[in-house]
Amino acid sequence: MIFRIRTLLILPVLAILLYLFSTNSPLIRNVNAHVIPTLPRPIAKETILVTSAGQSTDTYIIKDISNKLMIHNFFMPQAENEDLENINTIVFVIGYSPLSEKVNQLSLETELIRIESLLNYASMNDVTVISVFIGGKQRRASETDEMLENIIPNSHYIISTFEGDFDHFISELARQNDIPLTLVENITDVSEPFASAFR
Amino acid sequence: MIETQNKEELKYALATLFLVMMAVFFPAVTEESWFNMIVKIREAITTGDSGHLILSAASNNFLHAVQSTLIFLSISCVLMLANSQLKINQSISYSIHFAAFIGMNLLVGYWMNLPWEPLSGMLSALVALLLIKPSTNDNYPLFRSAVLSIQIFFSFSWLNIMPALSYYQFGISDVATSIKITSVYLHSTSVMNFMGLAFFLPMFLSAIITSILFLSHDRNISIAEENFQKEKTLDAIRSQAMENRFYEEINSLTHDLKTPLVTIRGLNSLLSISKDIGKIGDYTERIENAVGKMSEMISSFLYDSSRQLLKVDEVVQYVRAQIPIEDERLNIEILADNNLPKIYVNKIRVVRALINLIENAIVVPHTHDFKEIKIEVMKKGDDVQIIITDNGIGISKEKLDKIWITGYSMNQTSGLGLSFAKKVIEDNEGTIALESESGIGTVVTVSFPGHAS
Repeated sequence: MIFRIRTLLILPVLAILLYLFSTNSPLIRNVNAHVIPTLPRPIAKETILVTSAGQSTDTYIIKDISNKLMIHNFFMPQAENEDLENINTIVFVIGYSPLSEKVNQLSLETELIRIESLLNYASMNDVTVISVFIGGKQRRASETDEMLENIIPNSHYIISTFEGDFDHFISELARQNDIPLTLVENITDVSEPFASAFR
Repeated sequence: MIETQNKEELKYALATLFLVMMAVFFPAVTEESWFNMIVKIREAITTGDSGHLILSAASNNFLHAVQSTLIFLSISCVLMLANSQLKINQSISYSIHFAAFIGMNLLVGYWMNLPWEPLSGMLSALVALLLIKPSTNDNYPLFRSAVLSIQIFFSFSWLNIMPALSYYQFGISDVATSIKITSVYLHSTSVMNFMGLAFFLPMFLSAIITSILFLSHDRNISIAEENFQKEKTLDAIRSQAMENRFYEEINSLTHDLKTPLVTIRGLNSLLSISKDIGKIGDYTERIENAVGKMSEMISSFLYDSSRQLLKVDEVVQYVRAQIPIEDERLNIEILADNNLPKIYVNKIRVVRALINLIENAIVVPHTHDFKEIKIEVMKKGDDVQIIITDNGIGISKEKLDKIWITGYSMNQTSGLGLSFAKKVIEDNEGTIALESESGIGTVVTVSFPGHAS
């Protein structure tokens, strides 16, 4: 035999690796938070500014959804305070992407400072904050979690995927801060709750 | 030998250095390409065209595969170098290779701020270790490793962009995650799953087939080398056997030297007592002839190329004198034509060759009352032909092809006689042919070119 039987012992190792890496915590849908399918009445006004928290390409998806819903929006992934003039709602699309940050020559620290500054401005100027997280489990790195922790308590409405809240991290933050939360099955379901915030 | 080994080690050291440098700086060199992937994903979202996603996935997988291959090969080089000094056990070597591969990926990823795909990386490294077998016959082991590892790493990279495998933590890096999220948004998950599988399966099978081909090639080379060595040894044994046969022949002839020696001694005794001055001249002339004969015989023994122009009768007489006739049921008939041309041969050796052929005819079993051997010497064109015919049991057609092989025998003998005779005859510009029919007998025809004077 070209391959010795002994070498086949590698197969159990492969099986163990697959088992260890498999997502062994199935999604738990029963979350103890103020979870709603859509908002009963609008909470935000146009014009909106879609910005990124972490510079992931997910921001472009929300911009696309806004355009399709014909919500008057400005798209500025690296928006600063001065860009919020005449803006009624700021939408944070949360998701840390190291490569995108590198493309935009940003660092995590500067990104966190920018986010904090925008949140302060929004708080002081009565700008509605909507947080969207569509990244799922694989986007939930520690950097993303840090941003979620910063942004969610200052939000008026949160939209996330079930998979993104696989460990109830988002729903727990929403519960603690009494913020309405919508969990959707997948990204294509974001449009409806997102529209409900405006219409 | 040591110098060659040092050169080999230096070659590996340089290759290692080059590969490590390439592995470490590859992300920096290809930074622009990594950025382009992000741009392509953005374009896919903006335009709704999943083609951009596929292009981005292909770039991502190719860069991951090249980087993993460089890391894998650089560790291979280090281990080859270490192995030449320390002779590391193969299992330990594999473990070190695997651990170093993980460590170096994490290190390069951390340093260059590029995420690594742990599951596909580890799986492909394990498969690469399984498929890339160290070879003793391969002059370019790095080339072989490179060909296989690029296929393996490229095939496994495609698993990272398959949304169906997200559950198993395939594709957790930044670009792969972005591609999968975008594919969900663009309703292209099935396209990405198909693309992943369509690239993974053929590439993976190709890697397995390449590995099997390399291993088969190794095996064939080993067998060929083994056969070559065996053939070489066998040739040496045959050559030694032939050499011994010549010495044996020469030994058997040394008694022939006694004849002129006895003549010299006798004539010398006569000289000492002879009082007839007139006969002294005759005795000394005969002594001189005997010495000349001895000298000629010694030359024939010692040198293959020592040849004389001989009358065929002289050769026939010499052969006749040496035929061992001890069996009463043996009839040997010698028929020689008159006025045969001379032949230019080494007398002693050619006679020994002919005796060998006649002895073969004598020892071959027969079913008749008498063993009949006929030796005919005749002129055929310009040649002189010596035909030895016997009425033995003959040789079957299947065995006829083998009779000239040194060591092949049908009568429990050394099997050197016929090949010795053939060599001697051919060395003397003669030819030999053998015809035989099972149950009827054998005819051996020896020809030498005739010389008119």
